[in-house]
Amino acid sequence: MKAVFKRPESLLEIPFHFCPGCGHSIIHRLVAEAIDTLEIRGKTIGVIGVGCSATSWKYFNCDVAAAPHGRAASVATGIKRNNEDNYVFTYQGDGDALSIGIAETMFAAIRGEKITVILVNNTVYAMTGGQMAPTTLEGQITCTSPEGRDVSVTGHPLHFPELIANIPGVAYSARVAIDTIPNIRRTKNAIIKAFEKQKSRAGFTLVEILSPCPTIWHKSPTDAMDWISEAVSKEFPLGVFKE
Amino acid sequence: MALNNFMKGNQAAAEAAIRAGCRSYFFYPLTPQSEVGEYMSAHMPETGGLVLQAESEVAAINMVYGAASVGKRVMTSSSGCGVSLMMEGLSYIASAELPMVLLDVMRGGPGLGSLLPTQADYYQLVKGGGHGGYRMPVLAPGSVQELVDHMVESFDIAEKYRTPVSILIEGITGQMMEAVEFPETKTPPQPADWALTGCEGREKRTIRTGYGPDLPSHSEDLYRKYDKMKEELQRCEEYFTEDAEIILVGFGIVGRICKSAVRKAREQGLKVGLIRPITLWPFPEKVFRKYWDTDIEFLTIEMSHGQMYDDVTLAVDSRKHSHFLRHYGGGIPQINEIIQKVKSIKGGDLK
Repeated sequence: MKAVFKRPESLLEIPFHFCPGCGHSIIHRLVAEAIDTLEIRGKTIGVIGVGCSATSWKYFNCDVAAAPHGRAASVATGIKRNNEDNYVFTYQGDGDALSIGIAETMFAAIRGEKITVILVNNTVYAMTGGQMAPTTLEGQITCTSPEGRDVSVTGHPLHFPELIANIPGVAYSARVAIDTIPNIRRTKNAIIKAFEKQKSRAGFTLVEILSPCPTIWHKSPTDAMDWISEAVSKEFPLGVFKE
Repeated sequence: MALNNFMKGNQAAAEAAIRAGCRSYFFYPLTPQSEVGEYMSAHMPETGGLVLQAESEVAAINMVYGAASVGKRVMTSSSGCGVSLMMEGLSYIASAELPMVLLDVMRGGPGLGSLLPTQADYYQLVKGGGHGGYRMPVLAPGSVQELVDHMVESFDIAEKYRTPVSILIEGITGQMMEAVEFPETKTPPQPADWALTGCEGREKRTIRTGYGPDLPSHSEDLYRKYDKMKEELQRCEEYFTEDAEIILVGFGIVGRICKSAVRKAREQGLKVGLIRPITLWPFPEKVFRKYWDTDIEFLTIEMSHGQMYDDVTLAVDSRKHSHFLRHYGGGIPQINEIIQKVKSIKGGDLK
């Protein structure tokens, strides 16, 4: 009998700790499927950040280093520069990669590091309880913007894939989402594309993924998916900004 | 041994690291240690090794984390304010048990401070600096030759105990030119059996510092290692201590000045000796134990408000016999000044 659906080899059979409806579970699977598709599991080294995915070293069935908060792109640089034949990806949240770690992420792009940054954007600091992030939408209520984000005080949501698109060292910069089945398939394809660019040593690659956080958003899992379609992807347009 | 070379401390340290098999160096420019990065940039590529100027010390130490994770001999160097930025990364590196070497060339502080001589970063490296209660060996060479020797040895210590190791020198030693001999170049070791190389043909490996309920057992492993290093790594130089009535205690460049002071004091009939700690952590406390039941007085001399003085006072087991001569950042202890202090202690002036 032909298996048509199974757990990817690059994902271990360990129950996720994520909240019900969290997008990390889907995105972990997509990263693992991409690694399987390209048959690069034995050559892949993951670098995980700090936040909801801080314990993701458990789940990926490849070598993994867990970096300090925001520093994954620097750790990945130290790995990739020494082992050029490895595929190196980081798995980070928006607070990790774009707030405390924006210097590290940005300079990895400027240097054209041949790594892939998987940037999971759920518009909040979820692990710490739902505080405002650089990606929080205008007017969005969080624990630290109880009246809604006031952009005149805290600035506008940060559009990072667009920001790095004109950096010569960037080979691929895209924003995708997992709110619909077609978008989930596009997300997987974007991850594969980024790894392929890494294989051809084209430069820095980044895939930002709009992901639901039902717990912090105070929405049901399905309503959270709908909110990505209706609001989050209006602020953060999907697309490929550099290829 | 190679022929004598006349070199600045910072350059000699870089050359020694390359000869020790260091093949990865990450840095951010900062006086008074920028020559390390300059020398590495010029000479590391000849070995096929990697030099990368980072956007900050924060990035540099995390690049070190990555390079150490894949089993490379790796180092970085900086000075006070830059080392402050590395403290987060050092704590992670210590918890992840990654071998690496940090050369810390002290500049005056706090804040931006100045380039004048100081030893005020003793606490920063020896007592932690970063969070979480980690420890790491700290070596304090007193000459350019000793700096070269420590540089080579530090990589072996780092790998033996899977720990960061730091070398703490004053800006004087980094900038001073002396004749040095270098060892033969070593072939870098193969990545260890815990290194991340890609899991082809084996189980996956993980480098991490995050723990849940298993934190106590991780801490116990670390503490057991710290006890072992404390037992095995203590080192100091004793100089004319056999018949001494007053023993000076000074590290690094001050230890060197103290040697001259001991010789001059002895010319004047004063029975003075010296203990020069070479490992600042672990502090060489064992050597002080033999003086516990004597009336020997100890005089710690430091270019700071008094930092190693704490460790000396604990090690002699009696505040009564522990005296201090301090020099704030910018001043170098003078031999006559040391001898005056020795005489005042002998004369019964205890402070």
